[in-house]
Amino acid sequence: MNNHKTIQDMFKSWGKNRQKIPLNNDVLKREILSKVPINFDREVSFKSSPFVWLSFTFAALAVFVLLINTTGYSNSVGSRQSIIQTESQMRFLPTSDVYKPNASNTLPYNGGELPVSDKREFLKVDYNATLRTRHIADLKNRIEIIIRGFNGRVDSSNSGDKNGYVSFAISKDNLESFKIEIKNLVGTRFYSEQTSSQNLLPAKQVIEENQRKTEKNLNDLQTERRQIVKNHNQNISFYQNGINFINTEINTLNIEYQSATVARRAEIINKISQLQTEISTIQPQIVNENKNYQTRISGIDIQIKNVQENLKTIQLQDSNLLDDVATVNGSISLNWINLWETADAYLPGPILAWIFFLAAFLTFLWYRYSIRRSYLDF
Amino acid sequence: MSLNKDNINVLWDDITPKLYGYLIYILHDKNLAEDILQTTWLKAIQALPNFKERVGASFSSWLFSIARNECKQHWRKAGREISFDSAVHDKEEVDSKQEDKIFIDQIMTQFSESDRELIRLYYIADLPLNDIAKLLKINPVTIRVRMHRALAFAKIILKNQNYE
Repeated sequence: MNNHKTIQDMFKSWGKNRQKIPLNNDVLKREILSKVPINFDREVSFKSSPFVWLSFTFAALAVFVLLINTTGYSNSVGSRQSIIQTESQMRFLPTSDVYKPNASNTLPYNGGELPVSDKREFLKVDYNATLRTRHIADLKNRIEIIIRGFNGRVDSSNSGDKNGYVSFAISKDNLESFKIEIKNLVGTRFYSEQTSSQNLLPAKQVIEENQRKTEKNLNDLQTERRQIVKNHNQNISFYQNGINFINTEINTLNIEYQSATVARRAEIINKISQLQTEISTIQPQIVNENKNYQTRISGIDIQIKNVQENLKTIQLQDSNLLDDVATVNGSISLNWINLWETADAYLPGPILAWIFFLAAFLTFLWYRYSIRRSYLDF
Repeated sequence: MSLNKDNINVLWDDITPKLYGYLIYILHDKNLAEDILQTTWLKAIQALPNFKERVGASFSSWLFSIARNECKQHWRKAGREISFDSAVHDKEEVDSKQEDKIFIDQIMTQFSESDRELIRLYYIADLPLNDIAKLLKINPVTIRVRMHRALAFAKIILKNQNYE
């Protein structure tokens, strides 16, 4: 036997048995009812309950907050869009006529309109993300590990109680998977990103134009050098031939001198003397030619060397530009989030409106409950 | 809800047996119980416009609070409560569960007065515990705890007496 249930049943039974109707019930009832005023037939007003007004007030406040927030949101979105647009325009305007893949390599940029016929794209991507978290330092460390895991480079990082920051560079090929990893750290509700890209075609065109000019210059100089060498050789050969001819003539005169008459010998000696004088005038010309040649050839060699150095620099700039295109520079900001903001992130619309709606609902339920209870009790 | 004669007639039929049984139990005098029953209803009828302002309050608990005040006034005038003697005050009652009734009456004598009042209001007056809490000006949780303890106590007595 269930004693507890039995004892309850016994008490209930006992209570029922204790309830009694007075012997003169009808008389008493009639007497009481006769005391009830005839015009006493007024409606019990439940509208005086403060809960219903409280419920209306909360609901009105919720709607008010919702409207204010919606208006404020559209305003802020408008201003935000204009800021983004301005930034975007500024970013893609040729504000600088110099492409700077790094500080040491600079090239002039002509700033002219790009012909549409050139459809090449050298997109330089910048990635910025903001994560909201309650664990700044821990998240910063995890981000650094992820960056290194993607063969990236951490350029700078810092973290405090409320904010943190990591700037980095990773390969463009890894960007998408890197973004997914970062997003998964906090979830989409607490993640926002801004990715921008810029086509570096103008800089590429400048580099290519400079390279073309420099190579042409180098070719011209090399041609000029070859011409100088050729001219020099021709000049030296001309002088040498002159000397050889004179020497041949002197030898011929010396042979004739053995069998010549006295008068003829005097003429021969005179002639040989003239020829030797002629040789002595040619030899300084050869020395002079060699000297001029050395001067010109060393000058042009210096020019060729400079142009070759310039060409190397241009090729390095080209390589840097391609490396820069293949690299994504990014930064991740970490902001501490409080519980209020956390709740706000999960709820559509402002949290204050939700609180007011909930309060309105609860007070309405309480109002309904009080009405029902009052009816039941009657 | 409209408080006209018809509705009060219905309320009378519903509440009076409980109220009268309660009054008999605590006053041990049927004539006195009838007097206080009548007085209670009259005062309730007179004060009904005031009750309208207290939306949400139970009419029956309100009626019982009036009755309790009337009893207290009577006891103040009489000086003390008359001890219960069912042979004198309840002798005409015939019940199929007479044994149960005697047993519960015995248990009631072992309860404190506050617990007796609690049991009376719950089982005779048939008031909800929340209304009893308001009536006795006690926290509803405390009322529930006390009711639970009282039943547990009664259960122990039942067990000790091997009552089935």
